[in-house]
Amino acid sequence: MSDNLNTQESPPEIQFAGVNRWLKENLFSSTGSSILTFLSVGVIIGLFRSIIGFFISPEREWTAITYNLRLYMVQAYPESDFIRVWITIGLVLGLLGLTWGFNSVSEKVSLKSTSTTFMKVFSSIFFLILIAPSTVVIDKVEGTEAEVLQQSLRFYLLGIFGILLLSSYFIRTRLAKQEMAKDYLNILYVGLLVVALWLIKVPTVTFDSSNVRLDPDPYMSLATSTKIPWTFLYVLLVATFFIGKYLSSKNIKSVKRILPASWLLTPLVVVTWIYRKPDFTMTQIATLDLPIIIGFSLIGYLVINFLNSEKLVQYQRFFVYGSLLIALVVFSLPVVRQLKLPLFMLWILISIAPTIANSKESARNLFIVWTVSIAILILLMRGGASESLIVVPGSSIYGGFALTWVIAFFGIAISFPFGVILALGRTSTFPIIRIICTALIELVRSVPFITWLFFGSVMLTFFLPSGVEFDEVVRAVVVTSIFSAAYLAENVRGGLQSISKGQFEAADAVGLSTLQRISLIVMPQALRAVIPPIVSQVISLFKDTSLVAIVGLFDLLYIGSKVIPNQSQGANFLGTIQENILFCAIFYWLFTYSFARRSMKIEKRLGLGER
Amino acid sequence: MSIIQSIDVKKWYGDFQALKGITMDIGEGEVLVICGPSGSGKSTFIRCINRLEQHQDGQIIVDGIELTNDLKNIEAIRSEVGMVFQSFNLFPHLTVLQNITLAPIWVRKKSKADAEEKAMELLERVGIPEQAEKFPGQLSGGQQQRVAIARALAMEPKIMLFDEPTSALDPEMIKEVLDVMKELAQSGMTMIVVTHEMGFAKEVADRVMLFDEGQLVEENTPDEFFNNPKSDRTKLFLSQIL
Repeated sequence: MSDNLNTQESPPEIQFAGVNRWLKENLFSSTGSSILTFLSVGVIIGLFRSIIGFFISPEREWTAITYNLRLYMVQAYPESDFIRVWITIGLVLGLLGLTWGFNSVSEKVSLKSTSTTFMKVFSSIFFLILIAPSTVVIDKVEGTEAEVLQQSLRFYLLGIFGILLLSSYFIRTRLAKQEMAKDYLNILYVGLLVVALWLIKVPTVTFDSSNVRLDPDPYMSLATSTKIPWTFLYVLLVATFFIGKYLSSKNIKSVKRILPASWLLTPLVVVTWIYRKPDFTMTQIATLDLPIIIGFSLIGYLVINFLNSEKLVQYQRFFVYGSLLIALVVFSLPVVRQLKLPLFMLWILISIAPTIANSKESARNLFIVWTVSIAILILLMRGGASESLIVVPGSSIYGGFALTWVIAFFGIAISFPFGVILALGRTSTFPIIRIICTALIELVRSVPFITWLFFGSVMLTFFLPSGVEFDEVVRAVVVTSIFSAAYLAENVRGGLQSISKGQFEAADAVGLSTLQRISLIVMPQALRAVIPPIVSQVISLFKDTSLVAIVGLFDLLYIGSKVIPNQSQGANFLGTIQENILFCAIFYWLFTYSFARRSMKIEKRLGLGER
Repeated sequence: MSIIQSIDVKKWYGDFQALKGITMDIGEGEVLVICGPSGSGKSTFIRCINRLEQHQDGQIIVDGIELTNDLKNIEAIRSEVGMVFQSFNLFPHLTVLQNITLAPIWVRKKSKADAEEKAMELLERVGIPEQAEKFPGQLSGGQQQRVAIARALAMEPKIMLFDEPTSALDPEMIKEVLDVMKELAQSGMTMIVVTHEMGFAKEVADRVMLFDEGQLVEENTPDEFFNNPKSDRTKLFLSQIL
């Protein structure tokens, strides 16, 4: 009885009309379409057969990849310092887990859609195994064939995927109404990846005691030397996820502020911690840095709490100019470096403190921000000035995917604010700013990227004061960011032009200042409008990092196309260029495609407030 | 006591003269309706009052402050003068509540809680408190215009400008917006309304003006304006729209 009262009518389920009818309606609706169907099925099967044949042919030396995975990832980074890389990754993953858990919305996904995805994947693999060739031609002149897939193995694999397919179909039909938290599903997915690291075995190359290659290749698990750290990191990710969830349930507000700040700091930590191994001496830190930090913290406290008092605030102008003067004078004097920059920061603090610290709470926040940033600044300066203990063979400490990632990440992170500023400058009403920005954008855009890379590598030193020299990677990052900023500026400008005049007027009419109008009204809308071009620009920047090989950096593609195919000592991989290029292509695809998928989701979520 | 003084205000768009010397006084608490054919300069004139357009000759004095190029004066005047547009111009990326609290938080430096409390009060007053968490794109035209009025009122202005507030609305929705405006007029707000809603003018206005070709053609009480207009241009205008 009570059941009946609560039932709500559910929408009628769309009945599946049957395979025959679907085929007739979609593939064989007319003679022409029947011919097309047969033709394209033939072409698809033929194409896939030859592609699979290429992959599993005995001629392919996939050991070239598995043996060189470390070279691909970090190139020549010294093995004794790997622990620092792992700790850094752990730091980032831990932060990721916290953020994920803290912002987790208990979204549910039905088992129906999940199992449908699984069915799609399993049936594709099933189909591929079904059509895979059992023999491939290995000598085109003589027509010799080699068996690559035994029938018994084929049936064995078909059986496995058939069972998987059936079980996901069973889940889809029987448990369709069941739901699962999306977060747990994602944890499960990542967990499956980690399990795969242990279970999937690939052929690799090993040597005996007298350094002779062992044949045949033994099969070892995919990540032989890294599966333990990865498993540990997975546990860390899950643990921090639950900690984040717990913090969010306790409704601790400060986490909301600490998390973004930590994210802003991670790139700095990553760079200083991996790139350098600073020779910190504790006595120096204790006797020099710590007193400076405490001193500036105290001065900051006085400024924040007493500068906006009635008596002092009317002299604020003099404090601002005075502190600027002191900062300039000290900067030119031969004093300890730790004093120079903080004095400029003090000048900024004195200028903004009376306006920002207008309540007790904001004064406290400003004081915390001030102390933390002074401490970080001074420690970074100490780390940057001290000797680096890291020893790397070759010119650059970064190589392989690590280099690709660093250039792409910092290229995007630096070019974003610059691109936005350039776009605003180009649409500005001040003629000088507008002309400078336009000229810069046009200049950067009209010269090829490779030319700029050469420029950065060969000519940048002429434009810098003598004694100032940058590492090759830093130059590549600078050039990439400037180049990408020019394109980004044009994309953002497109977004700015799509904002109607009414929005500007409405912002003016409620009394917002120019800066508030841009940051609160115009930019959020403009950036939202240009997400698709920005995403495709980020993707192309990620791929364009492969061009840095031209100035002598060993990026992922360069290692795949030039380094490994020329390895003749030890494991002989001479001429394995096809395998390596294919691997690089798949690697790039994995990253760019997952990025594109992510951005589609972001776009969907932001679409809520659209007109 | 007059809160807005306009003395011989002139304005050109290129060679075209949009305002040919407008002189008027508006007293505190007065409701003024400006009508006229399109292109007569009525919108241009009220947009000059909060400096969305810049007048080139003459003087405009709002609440004792003269409008000049001084940014401080302009910002001070804008926070005393609320404006409602023909095309609403709500911020589409913010919720209704955020639309209303934005300026009080950033310009008036109110705390978020205070601003939200006031915003809910205003939404109550314009009759749509239940829409607070929605985005402007999810509301009907009449509801959007009422949010726009609430947004302007959130700054606690002394003067409200309405630039054809009902022209972009369906006939059914015009009434709900006019009701809000009537209530506002009765509460003693100084209002300048550019509109073709003659019913509103008859019922609420203290004075009605007719603009034509950049000039103030007629200025009268509503009774006189509709029943016994002074100029022939007004008679022609009324005969065309009534």
